[in-house]
Amino acid sequence: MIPAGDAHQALLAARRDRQPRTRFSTSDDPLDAGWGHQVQALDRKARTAEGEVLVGMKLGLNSRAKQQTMGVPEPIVGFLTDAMDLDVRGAAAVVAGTTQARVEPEIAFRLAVDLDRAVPVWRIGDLVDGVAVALEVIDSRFVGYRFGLPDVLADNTSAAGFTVGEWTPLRRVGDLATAGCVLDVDGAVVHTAAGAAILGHPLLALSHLSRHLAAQGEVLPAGSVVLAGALTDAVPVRPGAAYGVAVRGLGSLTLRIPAQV
Amino acid sequence: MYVASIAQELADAARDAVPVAPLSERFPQLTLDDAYAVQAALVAGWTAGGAEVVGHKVGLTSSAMQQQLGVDSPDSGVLTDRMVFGDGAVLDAGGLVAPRVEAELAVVLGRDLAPGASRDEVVAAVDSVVIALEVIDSRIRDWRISLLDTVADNASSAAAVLGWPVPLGEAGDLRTVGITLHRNGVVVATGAGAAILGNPLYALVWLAGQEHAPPLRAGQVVLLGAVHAAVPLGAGDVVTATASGLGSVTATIGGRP
Repeated sequence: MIPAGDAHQALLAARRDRQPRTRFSTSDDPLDAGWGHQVQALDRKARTAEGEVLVGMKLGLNSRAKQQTMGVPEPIVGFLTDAMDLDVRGAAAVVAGTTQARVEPEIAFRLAVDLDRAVPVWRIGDLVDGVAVALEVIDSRFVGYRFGLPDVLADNTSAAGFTVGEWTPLRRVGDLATAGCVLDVDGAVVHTAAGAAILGHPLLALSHLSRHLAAQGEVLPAGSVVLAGALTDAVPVRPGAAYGVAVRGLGSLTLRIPAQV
Repeated sequence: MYVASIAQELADAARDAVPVAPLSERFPQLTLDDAYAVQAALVAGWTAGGAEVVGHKVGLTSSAMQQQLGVDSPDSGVLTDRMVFGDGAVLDAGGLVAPRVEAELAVVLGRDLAPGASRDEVVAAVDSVVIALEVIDSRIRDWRISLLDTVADNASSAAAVLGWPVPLGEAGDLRTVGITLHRNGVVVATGAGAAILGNPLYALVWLAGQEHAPPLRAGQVVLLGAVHAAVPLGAGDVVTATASGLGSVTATIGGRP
């Protein structure tokens, strides 16, 4: 078994040198989710030690189909820092550090209070200060996005960048399960979905996160952003392209990738 | 010539739920006009038997479906009263070959549409929007269809189950109407109206502009197309489509699972 510290260093090098690597887990050495979380924790510690600020969390593998592919019964969790915020650091700077970036449409929640305990589903709405449409840029540090569950957890669930639209109070949004989502590239519709693509209802992602944090003994402070997970399949990032997402009740958001990155 | 005999073959296949070999392989000279002529003959046979035309369906409205069949435009079929049901319908699995289900948006026309109607006239003719389940089926063996096969086979239609109409003006922007499909209680597909040609009403605009299309009449229903890939359906399945602002519609496939 490759020690978590070595895997952390290897992933750091893959990101720094823009050189994707092969997965760590193999049939001989399957590793496990706990190992993946350990590596991710080392990455988070190193980043915050260098001055990056934790601004939120993200969920992945939130569709049954993706969970079955990975052989897990529930979503996975990664972290977001200010260095991944496309509006803070700029799309050019973030994309320049990637090698096989993709864009996914998402729904984001902003926490009204500290998330410090497992919250039952019927109270989860009380935690939400605002809901927004969002776009996430993912970039696996594994060649061709070929990874197992421990690998993708170690790689912070492929997190690279994110941008969030205008916040709307939850009670003004209407039913999120049937809110339509449209992803376009340069104005042409490429994927559509409804909010129910996220675990049957996007708020269930937040409920899952609360249980995950409680199990880890962690607190996510009020004001943090939570990306609930991809609504549709990802599309490749292309220099010069514009990626638009619209969600009923939440408005729309466009991410322009500079022609030169 | 062979239009009448192909129509008879498809009518028998639909009646007996026994599929036939792909037409496009057996009749390489078949044109798109021929295929629509076969469809018209098929429908004429049904109306001669007492069925009544109550609407239309537009198919192949998503870029994914168009790419799959190598075409760049939709197709259409005709709905008779024997094919259209209300919310809660129990459909007979025995009459189906290899059914699939799609959650769709449909419209009810408030007035007749003359051929060559402008886009504004087409939109103005829409009275209301309805959430619908379309059960599609192919009388062509194993769904090995080309465009011509599905057009001749009445656009692979089998049945439509309609929810309750909502006035167009109250339905909001149809592009971001989200639609979910549950099968036996589990979400199996989601989509939004924009999956239909970018805007669902463009499907009606397309249909109104087709020379082969039968007249579009006030009171008729038009299925505008699916917002997700079709989902296989079997006896005993219960499917529900739900759309933002349009409520939901449920259908059960009768027979033992």
